[in-house]
Amino acid sequence: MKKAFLILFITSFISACTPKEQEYRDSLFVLGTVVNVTLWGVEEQKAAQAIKDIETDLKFLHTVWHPWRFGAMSRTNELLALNEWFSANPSVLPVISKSKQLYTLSNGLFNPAIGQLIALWNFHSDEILDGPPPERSTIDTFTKDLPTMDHVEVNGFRLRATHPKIKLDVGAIAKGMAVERVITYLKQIGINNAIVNAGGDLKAIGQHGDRAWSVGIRHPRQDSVIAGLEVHDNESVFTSGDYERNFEYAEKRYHHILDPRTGYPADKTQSVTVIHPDAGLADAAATALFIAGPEQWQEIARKMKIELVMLIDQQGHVHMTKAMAKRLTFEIEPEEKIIVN
Amino acid sequence: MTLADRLLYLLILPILPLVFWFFWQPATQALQADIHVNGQYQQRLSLQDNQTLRVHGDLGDSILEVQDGKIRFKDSPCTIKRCVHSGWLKHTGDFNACVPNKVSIALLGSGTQKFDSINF
Repeated sequence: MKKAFLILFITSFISACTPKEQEYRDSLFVLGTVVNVTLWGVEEQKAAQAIKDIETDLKFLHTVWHPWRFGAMSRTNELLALNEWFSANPSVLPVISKSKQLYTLSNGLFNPAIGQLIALWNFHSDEILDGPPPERSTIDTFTKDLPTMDHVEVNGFRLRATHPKIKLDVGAIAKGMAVERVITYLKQIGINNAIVNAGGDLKAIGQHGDRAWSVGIRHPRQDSVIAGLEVHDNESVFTSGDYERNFEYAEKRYHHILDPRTGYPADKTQSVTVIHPDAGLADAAATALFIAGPEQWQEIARKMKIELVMLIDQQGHVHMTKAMAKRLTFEIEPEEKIIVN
Repeated sequence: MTLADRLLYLLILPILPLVFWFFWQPATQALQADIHVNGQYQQRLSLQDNQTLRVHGDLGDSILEVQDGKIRFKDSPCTIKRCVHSGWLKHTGDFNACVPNKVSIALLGSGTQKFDSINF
């Protein structure tokens, strides 16, 4: 009996130890945000080199896809404004092609062609956002003759715009596609257990040792986690929220997720979280479903073939697919949960 | 049972639940914060000591405030101040950064953190 107690006492210390040395973490200031990379079971020298290569790749993508700073995308926008065929820089073609596809699947709610509208609101700028919002008449003029991804024609390497106000801003999909590229690179060099988190949006491969990666989803209104989940191999978790980028003017808050139909920030949602293997799709879908709101999100999710969705509406009520409800463990119970098929 | 046995039980039994609680429960309250500038480690702060400090980054000084087990960016020389608007951090594994100034805060605690990564 005495021996049993002694063994229990000693092993309670030993078994609490976890092999932290197998985990390699680093943070990169790139893509206009912080990218946190966590690798599991990788020798330190290999991990450090992988991080350096990832930083180089992400800096390149940030330059070529940036909508207004000098680079391939800003040059593409200058040429699109001419409304004539031109040969595009190959670095912009994947994101433009994917954007066209997702524009159609989202019934136009994901629409990167509204770069001029984003600029009107000053959300494209690195400067302080302090309002006032654009004039209603200016917004209405824009939305009455809305440029869309259908106005961008692609023929091999050649592009043409058929609308004078086209300006591509791929901010709502660029992070997702960048994360996907990093994951592909890690797998190519034999790293199969990792999380790449770019400004809060992430993709995971493999596991954390002998358990799944665990991820917490931040509460849209509190400084804490609303729900946690185990993330499986090759899953992305992307959230669009009204708290990410916003300004206040005359006691009203304006955030950066614009509804292309109205030209104003979508106002029925606090946040949307999407889980999907394709990080680019998850990124675009989170934006589209945010704009769709509690009335329309199911229709758009079905069309985009997204099965794992959580939408938190302006009242803080949680709307989820049944599949998503099974995955989440709530840390803060919402007042109301609406679970749909 | 001898007197020595009784003394051993009296000593170990009360400690066992405490050991279990300390080592086996996810320690979500952070105890310390690591400060990095441009990826380089600067210093470790105890969240038990209330203080305000300046951390010099690419653009100038970020002001960090520690109060009652929490830490936040009180001010920063960036224009958008997203780091400031993010508010207080207090859980093990929490992370915040002023990207333009390249100053970051990562919270540590004892035991394991509850989540490997936070989605927001």
